Amino acid sequence: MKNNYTEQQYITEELLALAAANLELDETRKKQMISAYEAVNKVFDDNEEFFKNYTVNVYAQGSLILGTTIKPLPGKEFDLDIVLKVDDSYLNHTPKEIYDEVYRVLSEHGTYEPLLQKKNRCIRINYNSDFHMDILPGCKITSDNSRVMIPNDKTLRDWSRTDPKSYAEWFLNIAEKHQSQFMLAQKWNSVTRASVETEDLPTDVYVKSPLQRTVQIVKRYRDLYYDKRDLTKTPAISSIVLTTILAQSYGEELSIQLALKNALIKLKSLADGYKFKGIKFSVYNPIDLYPDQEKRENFTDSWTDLHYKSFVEFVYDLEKKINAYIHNPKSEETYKSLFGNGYYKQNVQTLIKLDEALKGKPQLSAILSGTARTDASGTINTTTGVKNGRHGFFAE
Amino acid sequence: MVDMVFLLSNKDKAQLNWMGFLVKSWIECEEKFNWIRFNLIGKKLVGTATQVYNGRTYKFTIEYSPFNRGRFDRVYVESKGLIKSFDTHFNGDGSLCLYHPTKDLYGRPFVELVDIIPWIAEWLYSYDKYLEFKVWVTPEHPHSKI
Repeated sequence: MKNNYTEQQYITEELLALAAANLELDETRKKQMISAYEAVNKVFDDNEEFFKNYTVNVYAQGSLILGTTIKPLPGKEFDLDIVLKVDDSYLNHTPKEIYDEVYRVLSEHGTYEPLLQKKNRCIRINYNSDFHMDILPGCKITSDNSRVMIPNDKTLRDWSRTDPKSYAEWFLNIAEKHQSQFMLAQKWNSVTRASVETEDLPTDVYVKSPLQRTVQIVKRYRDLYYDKRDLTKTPAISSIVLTTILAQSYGEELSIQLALKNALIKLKSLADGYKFKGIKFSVYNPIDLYPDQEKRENFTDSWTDLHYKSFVEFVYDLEKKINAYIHNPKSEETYKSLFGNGYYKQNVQTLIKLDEALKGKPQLSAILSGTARTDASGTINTTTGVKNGRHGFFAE
Repeated sequence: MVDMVFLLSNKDKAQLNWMGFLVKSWIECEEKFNWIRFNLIGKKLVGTATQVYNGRTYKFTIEYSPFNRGRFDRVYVESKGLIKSFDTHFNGDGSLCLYHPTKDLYGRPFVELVDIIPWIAEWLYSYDKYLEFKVWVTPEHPHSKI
């Protein structure tokens, strides 16, 4: 399929994708987290008391299954949210009973007992690492769907309906539409057609959807924005609220840059609605189709005026940073203001290496790997001339 | 009279036999590179070259002498709108700093000119990328006083 993207648009797109990919949890860490919740699942499978008669399913919800993870900022922990679903009707139990039993089983386990912490609706395992696991206990509603009842609030008196699996399906359906036409998927196809050596170029960078990248970029800036703020005065906007708004406003754009621009239009209209007209928008769980809308799962049900004000300020700031970056993506300054310190140089190097590999002139790869030569006319190459010695540029 | 040359440092030896040293460097470089013209001027080997890279013209002047303080080389470049800064690896005296004067010696007493010229090619490549991305993409040492 022929496309009309300019070279500059490709560069902007690749730098955005590389920046988001570098923020993502690496595969080792993802596997470590999956092992962690599988180990929890086994504890309940092996339980000879309360859980003996029930099947228990432990599964991740949130960014890990949506493909939108981002590394925590230095000194912060990754929050792994999992659901522990008891395969029995919620009508047979109270939320408190299930919560207490889950806590009891874990507290009787030598490994988990010292790591446990009771939270409002969930139980936290604080690993001696840079992540913690929040276990949300629940029961099934009916056998013909994936919906689950979880404790409504910290009183643990009432159940509340949710459905993380269907939410993930909903999100991924939106994200992966037109996958073969994504701007970078097209570029990736040309790379693979050219049989370019790609061992240090992660495929993931080029195949992840613009929506997933948009969510990662917005969430990353959210983390930076609230990092030094007093969260009692300016509460942070939750990932589920941002992810839902971004997915709902996604117009099937084929590039990250366009998806970001359109996401900003939607975020800005919500922010302006509150700022100028006092409209307090609600973000409902899009897969909860309960006939009475007021009883649907509302991700903003705990929002106060402070949340709305915080949302407005965050969105205005985000708009500035994204526009500055898209206007000038080839700048360490605009990179840092949107993504924080980190990988600008590395991203540019990856971009250049791929471009040169496609052109059959891998000069930067050769310089960085110590295999460069300089020929008689002063051109860097990999086959002829004087071997370039090891050195680093300096200034004094 | 006893020959005491073996007591001299490598730099002193190069100074003592500066003509032989510079001619050897000249021959080595002319064998390997055809884009630089060399001349002996006083006690210096002076090379001049013009390179056109991505539509921009760069004029290089390379001075190499064992009588230079510190490094034997002084490499100067001129080009329209040239950005001369620590980020683009210019020394305070306006010459290029192509390597760390101690860390990049790897046991050598000094760097031969024939080994420096490929780094000029790398500088040109890196500077061109710097103009586009505002970052130095090839290896560099942190800027600091030695």
